[in-house]
Amino acid sequence: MITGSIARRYAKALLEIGIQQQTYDALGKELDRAADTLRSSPELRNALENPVFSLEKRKLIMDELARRLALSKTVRNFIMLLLDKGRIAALPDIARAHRTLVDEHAGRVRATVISARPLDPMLETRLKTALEKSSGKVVIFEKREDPTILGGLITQLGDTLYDGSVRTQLQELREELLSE
Amino acid sequence: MRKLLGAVAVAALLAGPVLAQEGVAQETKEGTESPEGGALGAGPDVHESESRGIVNWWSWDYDTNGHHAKDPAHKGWPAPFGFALINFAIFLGIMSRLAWKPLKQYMGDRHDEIAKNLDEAAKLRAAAEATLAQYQEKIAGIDREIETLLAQIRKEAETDKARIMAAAEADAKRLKADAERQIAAEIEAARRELRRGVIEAAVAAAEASLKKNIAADDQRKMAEKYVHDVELRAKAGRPS
Repeated sequence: MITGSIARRYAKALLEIGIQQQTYDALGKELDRAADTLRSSPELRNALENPVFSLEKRKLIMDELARRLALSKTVRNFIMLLLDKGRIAALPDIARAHRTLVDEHAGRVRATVISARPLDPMLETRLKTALEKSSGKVVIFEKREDPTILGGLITQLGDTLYDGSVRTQLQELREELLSE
Repeated sequence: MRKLLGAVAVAALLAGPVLAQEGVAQETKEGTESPEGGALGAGPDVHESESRGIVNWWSWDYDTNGHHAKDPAHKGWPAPFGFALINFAIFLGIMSRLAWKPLKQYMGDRHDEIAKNLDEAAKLRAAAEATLAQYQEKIAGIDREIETLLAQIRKEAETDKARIMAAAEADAKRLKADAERQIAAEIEAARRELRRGVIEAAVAAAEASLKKNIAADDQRKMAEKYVHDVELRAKAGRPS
């Protein structure tokens, strides 16, 4: 298991390379693609993480994966370094930390918006504008639908939570009634 | 005492001839007529003896108790009475010499012992009489004492009864208060449990109703309100 600080250190190293090459956004997307692939395929994860397979074989597998995912040489070498250091299992954490660092560098912030039903585009624009106004950064929306919130919206912006869901209101009502 | 017994024994030995003399004299008086005089010139004395019944004063030639007289005239004579008298006098002397003091001592001791016993008996009697008087007095006052004791016992019983009643009353009050507190706590717990159940059921029913009845228009209105609130907070510059 890799700690957050180590993942952030690797991510920061890659960001510095990306800043030098002016390709940090592209590198971030490539890293996300590789992390998603690794996350979604247990067999691939096992082949890359299992020390039963030799490092050469694992590098061959990773080389093939980089070719298929059309990864740049920089990202490919970065993942090979992770294999050498035995940190390949931390790739999803490193990708997430890199995304955060890139957003910070670019003056962006990610907002996760949860709704019970698809959000009206006009309301989405208004919400994005309001969030950008309150945070002072460009907001990147990550939308998700969750019917269990019954109604309303939940927005996670950095460390700040805007919870206007019916589920939470019902829960608050329940707690209030029980505490009387 | 030992001396006294010895003196009695010697007296018995010495008194034998005297008793024998008396026995023979009686036999002679009842049988044949007594002959005259003894061998030691006892002619007139013999006659006097005959008249008084004493035939042999001093002669050792006598005929009685297996002793055969040499002189036929002495046939049937008893042992000499004069020696018997001397014998008796010696006996009295010895007795007075040997037995008087021990006898006197013995009698004195006996007298003292009896006197002492009598004194002790008198003392015991006096003590017994005193005890008897004491008991009689006690018996006389026993009713009063019993009454006093009964009164005291009754008083103590009343005190104990009052104390026990007070303690029982306090215990009863405490138990009642405890029971009331416990009942109140249980009622409160039941009330809370019931309230919790009702609230949980109400919230579950509300959730089920919302799941079923929230329409698209309701969702839009809620989203609209949410966005409006976020906008207001953005204007105010504070998060939710």
